[in-house]
Amino acid sequence: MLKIENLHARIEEKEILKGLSLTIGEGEVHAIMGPNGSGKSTLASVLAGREDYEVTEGTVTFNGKDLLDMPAEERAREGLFLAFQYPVEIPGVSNMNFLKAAVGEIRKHRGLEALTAKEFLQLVKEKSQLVELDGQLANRAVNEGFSGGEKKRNEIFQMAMLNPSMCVLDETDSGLDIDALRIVSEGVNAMRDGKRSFVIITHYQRLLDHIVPDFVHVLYKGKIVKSGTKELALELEEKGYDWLKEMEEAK
Amino acid sequence: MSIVAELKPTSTFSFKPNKHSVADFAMPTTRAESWKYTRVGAIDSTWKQAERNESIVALENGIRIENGFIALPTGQTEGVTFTAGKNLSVEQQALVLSLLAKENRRDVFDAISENASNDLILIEIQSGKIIEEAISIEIENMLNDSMSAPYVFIVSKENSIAKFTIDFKGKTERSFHLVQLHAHVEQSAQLEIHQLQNTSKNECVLLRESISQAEKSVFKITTVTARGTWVRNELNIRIEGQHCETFLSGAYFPKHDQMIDNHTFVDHQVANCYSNELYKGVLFDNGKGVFNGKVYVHIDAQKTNAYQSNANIMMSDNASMFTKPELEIYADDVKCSHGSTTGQFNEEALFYLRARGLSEESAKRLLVSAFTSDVMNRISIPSWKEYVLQTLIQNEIITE
Repeated sequence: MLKIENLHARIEEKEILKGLSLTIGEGEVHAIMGPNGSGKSTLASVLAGREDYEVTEGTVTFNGKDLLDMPAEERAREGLFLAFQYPVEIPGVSNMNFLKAAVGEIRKHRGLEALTAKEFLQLVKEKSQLVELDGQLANRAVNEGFSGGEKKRNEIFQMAMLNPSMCVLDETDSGLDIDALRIVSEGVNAMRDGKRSFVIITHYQRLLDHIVPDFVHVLYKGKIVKSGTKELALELEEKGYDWLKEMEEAK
Repeated sequence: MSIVAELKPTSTFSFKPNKHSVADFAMPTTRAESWKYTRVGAIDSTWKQAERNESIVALENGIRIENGFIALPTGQTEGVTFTAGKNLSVEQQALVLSLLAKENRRDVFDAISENASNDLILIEIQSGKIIEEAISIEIENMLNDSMSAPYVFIVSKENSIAKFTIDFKGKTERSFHLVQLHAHVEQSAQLEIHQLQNTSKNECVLLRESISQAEKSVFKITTVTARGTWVRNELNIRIEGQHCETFLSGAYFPKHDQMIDNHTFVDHQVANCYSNELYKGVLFDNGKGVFNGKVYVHIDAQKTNAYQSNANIMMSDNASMFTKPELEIYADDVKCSHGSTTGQFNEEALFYLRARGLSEESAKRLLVSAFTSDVMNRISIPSWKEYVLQTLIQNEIITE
């Protein structure tokens, strides 16, 4: 479904991704872990199409199409969703109007008929329950005055509304308390249907107690240095990242 | 001086309060402080004046001003009297002249108004009356290369409440609106004016509004300029009585080579009053904006609470914005603040919206409507707000 090959990317003059390769099949959940500064968030930004990053080498194909050739909005319409590490507050834009526009664009792109107002509201009701998001929040301006937990729940709510085939979660667990972590994880798990794929970027293992991955990869200095199953995450939790660094430097 | 080839005297009411002749004044140049950023070139031209057209189609519940001639509403509104210039009583004539005398500005445009004015109307809101429906004023030029110069006078009598909408429409290839509006809000009265300027491609507007407020009165005004090749709005508000509230707001969206200038003046003459000013601009293409907000707090105007804000977003590298807050404070126990920002879009917000599938264009329009939403929320008439927003959508400024 998503194939990343030898990806190199930089921001301004600083090279951050240095030959990253990763293949994600249909319905798979991949966790990407790594120390600070290893390039985790850069990978998320490059996949979503943030223009500050320049891809200097490598390819990314998404369902057979060249992902890097598409502007950010087209990637979203093709079914890629990025849950932001820092969701943006946009005063004056109501969550509902924004979502109505986004759902409309995506359905149009996929050749689906526009939802009626009633269908849309029904969908909002159904999906907001998934992350226990208060109906009031849906009516407010996008993320404005939301707590950290509410912002992340709102990301997952939007994800559920837009029904993507590939979800990239960038440090969704950061800034969450135990209850919010549980709610967000349950929302994500409810969306695992054997077809939808996930890339879960996280620094800590605790999120993976709730969302159990099929594969775990360790990112270090812009490359994947080790891949394994969920046991790898536990190993990292126990040993920290230092042993990996030593191992890499010994090479 | 070439403005107006032939000045015709007012046909309806002998109206030359200052006995000035246009030839007494020169056109302002950019050397004058208040015209520093606004060249009069576009309006310094030879304009025709329309003949009185008896077949103006009057509106049932509003006033229609066509080519500067005023048609009174055909219907009645309980609590409101509309008086055409030629029918003013001696007392009403004195009232009109007293309102004009409050404005001590004497310049070429006032002289042109005085000499070229086609028509005049006095609208009086009777004491204690609450007018539920907004009174609409529709302003339109129908004759190419013409100038219109109507006067509108509004007096809100004690304890009355009324709202007006003023709709500047565009019909001609090229014309000039020189509109004067003078209003007085009497003690404990409330007056609101909500205006939209959507004149056509080569229409110019010089709108001169002078408002005075007696004690405990409330005055609110919103001015949205959706289009206009050359628009200058001069809004002077004199606060003459204590415990008044004043809200003045505007939004402007110059595109292409359009120029939109808002000059406001809030004159706090007495103590214990509150004023709140909020103007926002989004500038496209080669658009140009000017904002000059003067707040004057007289030595006796203690406990004045005056707030002013002007914020702008530049959508193009070629657009320009000239903004100048001007606070003159002579009282020592006041709360006055002002802020002015001019910047680019929030790129992070733009990316967030695009990452959810919105095109760059619709994301931008959504952000423009978000940016100006606080001004739009001051439009207290829902149907008028909807009309303003629809106009902005049609002009491809905001999105649905």
